[in-house]
Amino acid sequence: MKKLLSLALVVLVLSPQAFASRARLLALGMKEIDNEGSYYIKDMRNIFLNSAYVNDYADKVTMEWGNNGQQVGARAFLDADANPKMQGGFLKSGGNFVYGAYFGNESNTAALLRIVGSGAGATLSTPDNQLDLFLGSSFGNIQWGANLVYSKNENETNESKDHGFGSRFGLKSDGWNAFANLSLGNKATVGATQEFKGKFGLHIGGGYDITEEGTIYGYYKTFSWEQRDAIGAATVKGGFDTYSLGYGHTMAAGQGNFFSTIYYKSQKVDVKFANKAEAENVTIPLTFGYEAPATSWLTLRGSLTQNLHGNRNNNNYASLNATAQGLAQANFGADTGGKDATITDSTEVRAGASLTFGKLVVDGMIGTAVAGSLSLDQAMSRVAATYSF
Amino acid sequence: MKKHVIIATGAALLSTSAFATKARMTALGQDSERGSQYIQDGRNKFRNAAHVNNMNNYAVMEWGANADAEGGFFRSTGSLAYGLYMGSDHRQAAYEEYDTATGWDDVTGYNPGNELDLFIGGDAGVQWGARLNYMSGEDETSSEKRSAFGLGLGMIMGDINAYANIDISDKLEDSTPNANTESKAKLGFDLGAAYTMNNMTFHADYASNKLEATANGTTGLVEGTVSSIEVGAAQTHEISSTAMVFFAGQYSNNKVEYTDTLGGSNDNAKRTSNALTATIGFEADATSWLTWRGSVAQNIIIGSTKTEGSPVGFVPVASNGKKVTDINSTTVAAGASLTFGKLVVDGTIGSNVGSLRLDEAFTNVAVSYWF
Repeated sequence: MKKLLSLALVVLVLSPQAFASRARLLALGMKEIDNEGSYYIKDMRNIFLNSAYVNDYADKVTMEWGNNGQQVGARAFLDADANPKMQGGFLKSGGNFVYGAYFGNESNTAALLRIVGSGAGATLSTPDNQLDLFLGSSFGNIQWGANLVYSKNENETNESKDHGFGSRFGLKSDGWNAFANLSLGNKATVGATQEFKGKFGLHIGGGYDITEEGTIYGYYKTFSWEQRDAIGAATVKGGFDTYSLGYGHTMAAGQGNFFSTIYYKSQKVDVKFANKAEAENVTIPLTFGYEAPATSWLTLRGSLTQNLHGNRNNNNYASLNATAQGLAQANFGADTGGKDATITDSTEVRAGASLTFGKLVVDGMIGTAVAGSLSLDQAMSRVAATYSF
Repeated sequence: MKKHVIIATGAALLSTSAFATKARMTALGQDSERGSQYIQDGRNKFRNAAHVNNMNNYAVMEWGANADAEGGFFRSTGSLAYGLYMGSDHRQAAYEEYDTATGWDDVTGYNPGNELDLFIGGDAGVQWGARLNYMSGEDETSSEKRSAFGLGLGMIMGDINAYANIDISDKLEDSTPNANTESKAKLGFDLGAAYTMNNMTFHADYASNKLEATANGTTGLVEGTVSSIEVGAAQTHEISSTAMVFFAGQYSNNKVEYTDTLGGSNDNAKRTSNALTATIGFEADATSWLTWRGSVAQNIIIGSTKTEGSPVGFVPVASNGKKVTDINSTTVAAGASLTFGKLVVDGTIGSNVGSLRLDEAFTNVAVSYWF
């Protein structure tokens, strides 16, 4: 009886329905610019990857603590581990449907590309006050989901405007899932001479469970834009392409889970100035992670990642504005002058914890304040709270 | 038997009578000074004095530096309820003092604090309440003097509640050679009402405060108006006796305008803000002694400020009549209560850039004792 009760507690604690935050997936090795979810670990965050997952996470309120994010321009902000952006929302079941709204989940990719797209002009505004609306249901044994995305902000004093509009569609069933996320409108301007205009953007992908524990997954992301700055009159084109193919494995181990994944990922960004600025990273990271209950109210998790292969080939960062150069360096590594260079020191260890109080789960990353230390004055970072009702 | 007792305790914990602090209101995305229009809390009596009938028999202390510390007690006796509160900063509009050097700004000027609020209420079929507010101080070293007096009236009748808070007098004198000014608030008021139907509450609030400043030996004067309109609706769900979730939407319009003809000036300025704000929040007992709460709010579609004229010291900077979207309107707040029998310690948490810090676990701490 006692064992059954403990197992029941474990199920309650480690049930994927219980977990719903960037902090959890980051601690388990997620490495995406937008932290939009995991391709093989179940988490509520995945609704931003495949909106069909709203069906699995109904009747929850979730909040991610933070501030305004890392400021990189007068009206430009990025979400960063040390300075996360506040966001939150809810999902609710109603009859055969699940619906919800989410605030503040602005895309780092959209922000980064606007900064790159600022050229030699003033830094363009980044998306802000974003609203996500969700709807999902099922037909037969297939679940579907849809998500509308909208953001807008303007400053009439300098005639600057930014707006973004997109939609996400997803399907899933036992053993597979597929999604198509579209960027339908993306534009930032200052006056009549500085402009970042997004063309069509697409993120498609999916996963297939080849065994009970193993999932193969893949995705392709592409986005292109045109930019003009106040100094040069010419329109410059830019493009962003990422594709990945991988395998993820989730193995029950004792009272917890052991995760592992290996994937091939190619990321390429270029802006066609006279001296084309470009960054290309090709990596094959291997990640191991664990998640296990330490007590009935405390779950600990962590991950170790290292590249089996990691190469960067970046060129002409000097064509970008100073802010964009810094961000390019932070995200893609230093300029290599068009030559290949191994990505060094790719070994990364992360840790996180969840405090569970019945229907309330508080997640966070730990050990981020002082490298290598468990610092109690900053016990958790990127804290999120999720309440199931 | 034990199970029933636990549930009863839970009910008392989440029961509206158990919470009465600014920290709770902040964590739930509400007005920390005047309380909420749809979540019951002891702070609500600063908006509608009739709530003294529903929230009494407790003492509360809000920690802080001298200028921020406040607290009081409320008791019921027979069919009457009364209370005394000290140090509250709920005065409807920050008091502006005209200064020849800086012009019109949001500085409060000489503020001696020591505010005193006296409450009384009763139930005569309709619950009624009244609040007297008084503040007075003088500093001969800086030749400044201030006195303020206000009255709040409220009623609750079934699902309807209404209130009127009036600033009857608020006068600031500065007789130093450089300033030699007198600033005073003309009659200011805050009127509002709310109607609850099933688990929906519809509410509205209108506030206006006129201020005037003159300088001895100088012609002309500065006149200003601070006004706001709020209209909203909220839905609260009591998930269990120890948990609730709410969804709210509110449109607000705030206006500050002034004209300055002092000493031959001819300045005028107006700042207008509009916002349509959605708020989602929850409050739940994590354990028998720990209650968590949190909220997320953001402007939806509408949220901008514009400033016209030639303001001096206006915040935000002048926009020459052009509209500027209020960026970073997404706000997440969190808080917790530690309950030890009749003693409740509230605070906000996680205010340090998304982190849970144990060296500063609670901020805006308040302690309430229920007797």
